[in-house]
Amino acid sequence: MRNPQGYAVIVSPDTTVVNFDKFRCEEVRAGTFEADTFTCVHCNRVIHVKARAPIDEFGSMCRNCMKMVCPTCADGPCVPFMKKLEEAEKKAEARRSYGL
Amino acid sequence: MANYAISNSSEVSAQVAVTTTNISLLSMFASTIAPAPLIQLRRGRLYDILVGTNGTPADNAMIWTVQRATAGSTPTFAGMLSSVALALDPADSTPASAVWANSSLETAYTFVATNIPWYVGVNQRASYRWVAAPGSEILWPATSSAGITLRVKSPAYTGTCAVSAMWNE
Repeated sequence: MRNPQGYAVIVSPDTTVVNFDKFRCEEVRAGTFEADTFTCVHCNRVIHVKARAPIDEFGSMCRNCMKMVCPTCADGPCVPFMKKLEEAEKKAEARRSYGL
Repeated sequence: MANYAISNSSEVSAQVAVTTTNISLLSMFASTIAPAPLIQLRRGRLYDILVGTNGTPADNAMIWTVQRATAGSTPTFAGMLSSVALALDPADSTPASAVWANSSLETAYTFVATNIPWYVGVNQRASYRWVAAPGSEILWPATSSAGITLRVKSPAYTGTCAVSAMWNE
């Protein structure tokens, strides 16, 4: 991945099958396995990227915010996770100001 | 922004055995229940997860997740760690987030079943580490009692686990 947003390392003494992100299972050989990850800009989910796989296999790119999104968010509207956080914090702040 | 680390070391509180249902090994919440004078709400960013088991080696499936949750209003279970110095830089203050390790009371949390920002199913013998690049962390909002928990379950393994996490706020 050209600009990975994270990095995962699995160290296993035996060959093992790993379930990544509930999306795919992959057999990992004994020793050290490394994978790039990205974080979905819409839901904040961490997605492990399969090496040399086309982008459609593990996510998509939002054509509005031009950032990587997970397969679940690929067909959804563009609502960045940071915006959701800010809205949640504003609501909580308003509730506190009302003494609730 | 200060960096913090926490592990579920047995020196902090007794490690909880894995079961077929999820147990929370580490929990971090924006909360006003942190010890005074640190009662303030801050947004948290989880950027490092390291998980493994410390029981007898065997071939079992382990399901590791980070799940969003809401802490109960009066979480009184053992292992609250906010009062323990966790800052990676000793010059930083203790975290404003409420932090727990080895929770044995899952009912103290309300989990968002569909909101799992990190999920890995891996063999018990394997250890796993994830590190986020700056700006790609798992976030939780600065609203009271909102946070995340690092959970594990296994269909067969009944030993304990060793996990570490790092976050900043």
